[in-house]
Amino acid sequence: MTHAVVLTRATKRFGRKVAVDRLDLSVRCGTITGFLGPNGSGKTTTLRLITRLYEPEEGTVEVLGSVREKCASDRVGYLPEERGLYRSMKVLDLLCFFARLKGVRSPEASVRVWLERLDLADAAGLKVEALSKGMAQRVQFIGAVAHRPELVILDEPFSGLDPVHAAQISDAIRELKAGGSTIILSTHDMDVAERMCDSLVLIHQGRKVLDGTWAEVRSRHGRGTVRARLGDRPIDTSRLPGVERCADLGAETAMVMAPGGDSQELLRALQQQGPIARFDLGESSLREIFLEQVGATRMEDAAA
Amino acid sequence: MNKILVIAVREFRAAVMNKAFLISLIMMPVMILISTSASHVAQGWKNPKVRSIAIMDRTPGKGVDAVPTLELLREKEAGQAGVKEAGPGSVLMPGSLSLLKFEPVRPPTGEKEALQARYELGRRVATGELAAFFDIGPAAVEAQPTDPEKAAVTYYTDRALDKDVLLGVGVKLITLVQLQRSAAQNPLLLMRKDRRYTPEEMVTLLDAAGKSTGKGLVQRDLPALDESGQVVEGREVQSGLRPLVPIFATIILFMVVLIGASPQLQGVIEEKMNRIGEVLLGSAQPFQILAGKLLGMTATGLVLSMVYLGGGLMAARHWNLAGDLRWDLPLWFVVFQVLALLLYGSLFVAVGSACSDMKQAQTMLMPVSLSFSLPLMFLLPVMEDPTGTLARVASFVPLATPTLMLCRVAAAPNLPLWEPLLGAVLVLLTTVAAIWVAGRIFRIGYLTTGKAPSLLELSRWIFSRS
Repeated sequence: MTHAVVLTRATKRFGRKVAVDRLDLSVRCGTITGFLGPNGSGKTTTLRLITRLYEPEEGTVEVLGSVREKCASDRVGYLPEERGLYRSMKVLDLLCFFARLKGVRSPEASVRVWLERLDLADAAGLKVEALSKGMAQRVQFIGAVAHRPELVILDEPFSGLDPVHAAQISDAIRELKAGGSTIILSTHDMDVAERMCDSLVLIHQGRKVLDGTWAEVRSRHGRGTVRARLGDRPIDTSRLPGVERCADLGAETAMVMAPGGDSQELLRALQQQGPIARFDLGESSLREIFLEQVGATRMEDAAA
Repeated sequence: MNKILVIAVREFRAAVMNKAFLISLIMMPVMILISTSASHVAQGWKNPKVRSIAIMDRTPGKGVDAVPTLELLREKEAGQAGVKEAGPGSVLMPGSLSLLKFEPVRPPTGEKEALQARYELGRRVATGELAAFFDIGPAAVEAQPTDPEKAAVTYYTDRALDKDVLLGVGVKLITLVQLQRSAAQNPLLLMRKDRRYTPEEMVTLLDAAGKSTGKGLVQRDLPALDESGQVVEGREVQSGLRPLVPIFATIILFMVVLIGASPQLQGVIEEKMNRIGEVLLGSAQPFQILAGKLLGMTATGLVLSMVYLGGGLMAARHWNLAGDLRWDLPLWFVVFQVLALLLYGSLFVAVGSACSDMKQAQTMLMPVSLSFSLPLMFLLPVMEDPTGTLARVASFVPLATPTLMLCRVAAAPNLPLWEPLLGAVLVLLTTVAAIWVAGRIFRIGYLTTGKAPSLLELSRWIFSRS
């Protein structure tokens, strides 16, 4: 099994609204995959399809090699976007309950290890209603991972956390990956996605807008900017490969790369024009790519 | 199965290990005790003021002699109780004459005058001068009166209920009128001018009729054959207890379902509001969650039942009434209690999962609550005639079966076994159907928020694939 999750033309509708529209998607085993998309784009619905909370009206959803398995698998851990904890239960009892539901017979020891690790050992005997938002978030995280799942689905796991505890969760996620788990991480935080994810999926209006590793995404969708100057003459901008548009800045020329444009090819073309005095390549950030892709999809939809 | 048990244990612990459960466990018998003893206690708080009752006797001749007889009876009552004068703090039984005095009203000559006299007496009642007045019709002592209206004893009051006057005076007046009517037929009184009993005679007759040297009326089970084929007398029945058994059993069943199943509704709504449903559904199938909840609730309900049933049996033993209880009753009680919990619990959960808040739930709960409470309206007629057509038909309506069949089993010892068995099977089938419907609503409704679904949407939820 190379892929932990494979969606093939998966479709989910709510009345007339198509929440997920013929989505093809695959998540490689042992990776951290970032799910990106604006609010209402269909991310949570996709995650719920993967966790079997919803069944697709069309297409298939294969999770850990199983397509037809109706029950939510004990091999999956799920941290929903909105926290779901019994307010009147004690933290330790609640986490043991969640772990037992996942088939762990004696979960207390493993739960205590996680509580210790996330600075919650003192909260084991507290009722959930007495916890701060950040503490409740960490408790919910433990609930999703204490049974050592093969697939961990985390919907906004850093929400409400201070930087110290966010770093703890980041480390824990990386450790889960190192232990062989596959992680799906849904987030609005582009820096987190860029920093932590091996591959990215951008969903918008129920459709996949882009996917791939960060390098592939940047390579395919990055719109880098090159600032260049020749030593003895102005740049001839009429014959430059991979450039979408140019701007004369006086001493220098700014060139916006076309999507998929190869900066090395541009460098070679400039060398043919003469000796290069300056060649600065600026990379697109994930945020810029996200905004550009979502904006482009919106414009396409408006034109259609 | 393991997940069902995990959820059931959590539900049971959440329901039982909290203050609300302990309070309801203690409060229910306390409330029953208070409500049953309230009227007795309230007798001690009666206004000690002596009240006047006017009695207008329009029978011809000497009349019924009601006022002197009632006064003699009051004196006798005070003498028997050892209390000469009733005062504040003295506990008087309903129907006591101790705080009443009687005023004879001269019989008017005609109907019109009688009406005017009644009007004036009514004015005195309205001002509080009189507590009430009675009118003994002119034909009250005739053996065969031509006009029943004229033979009536009529009670006039502005109060909804006044037990002392109604039971103490009204019932006694009827008895006195009946005695005087029989006196007119008594050949031994032929020599008397008016053929009437004197007040002293009526008190003596009433006294003799009220006392019994024997055991009085004894109720027994039907005589039966023993092991050797000999006819043996039926067991003596504590007549006061037997009617209480079906009522007690049915009320406990009703209350336990109410205490056990209602929190399920609230629990499911809270889980929806707190988004716990999403976490649970990520770990278990909707049916497993529903089954776990129902199992936990049933266990909770049974704990309640056992406590109350045990308490009831201990009380019966304490008052030497335990021998009157049949061995099969607790068995049937448990069967119908479990079925009622599962049936109504699944409906409560279905309503909870279809709603997003308690306000929505209250509206949707109405038909469930009605179907649950309605059988109680039939409790008395079913208890009085447990093998009649009404009882038989009503007790086979599955939503009413747990309460009414239990009532029939308790009220009719010779009820054929197939009837409660068939009733249990029908309820079981209905329960399976209800759990299926609840499961279908639950799996969609549990993740749905916003306004409550319409009936059309609910039916779509029930029959849709996903």
